[in-house]
Amino acid sequence: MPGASVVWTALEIRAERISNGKQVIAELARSRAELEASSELNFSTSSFDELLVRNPNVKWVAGSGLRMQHSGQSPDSSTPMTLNEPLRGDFDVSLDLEIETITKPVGGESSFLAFQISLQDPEWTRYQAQSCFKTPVE
Amino acid sequence: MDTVPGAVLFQDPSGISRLVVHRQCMSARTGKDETTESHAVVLKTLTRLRIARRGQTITMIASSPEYSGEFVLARFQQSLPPLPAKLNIFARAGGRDAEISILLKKMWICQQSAELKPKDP
Repeated sequence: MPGASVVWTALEIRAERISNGKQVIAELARSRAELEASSELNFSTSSFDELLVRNPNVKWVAGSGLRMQHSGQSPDSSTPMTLNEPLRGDFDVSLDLEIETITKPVGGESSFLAFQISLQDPEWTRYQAQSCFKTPVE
Repeated sequence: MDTVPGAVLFQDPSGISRLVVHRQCMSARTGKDETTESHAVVLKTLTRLRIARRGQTITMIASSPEYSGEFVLARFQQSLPPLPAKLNIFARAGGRDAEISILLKKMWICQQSAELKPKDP
């Protein structure tokens, strides 16, 4: 009886809508409740300088929060802020924010807010979520 | 709501699943620099970013009223053990006349064991 053998090398799925997020978010909510240590940093009431290392362009505005600004004319490539202590084991970190200004970048450049973790391995492996505004090269 | 109009889910050979959310977004990249995994999305209405690690899985979630609440940006399966991780936030304006201003309102940090410790004076 004739037969056939097929090797699948790649699978790409495209769709107008996908719905794989709800279950993931619900599961994360359940497991977050099991994490032992939690802290809430309300930046409207404190700058939490004892916990954060922040660039001078991250300014505390009492009653509002920490305003993080960067200008294309700045000598710094970005405006950073870092949590002083590394996160250990399982963790869950949320950052509430408001994008006040994000002007159109010049062609080929991008403006972004990045939320990143870097692992303390020899290669400093990083995982990054960013809200980005990129203009194509003209 | 967990669905995103116009989203594309794809999985690259390294096993990373990503969700490309917006037609204008910069495409997700696996880097070179090879150690960077990132996901980008244009969301001027972004209200929250979240990163969660459970074992060797890292999940990135965003919130925006534009998408009726929370949605998964990306999930990464680490090949590394769950090493200590530094949390960084940064903003960058692209180009000489560009400006960016972000108001950081609140941050919630939950972790398995260690509490946050003040830095040395």
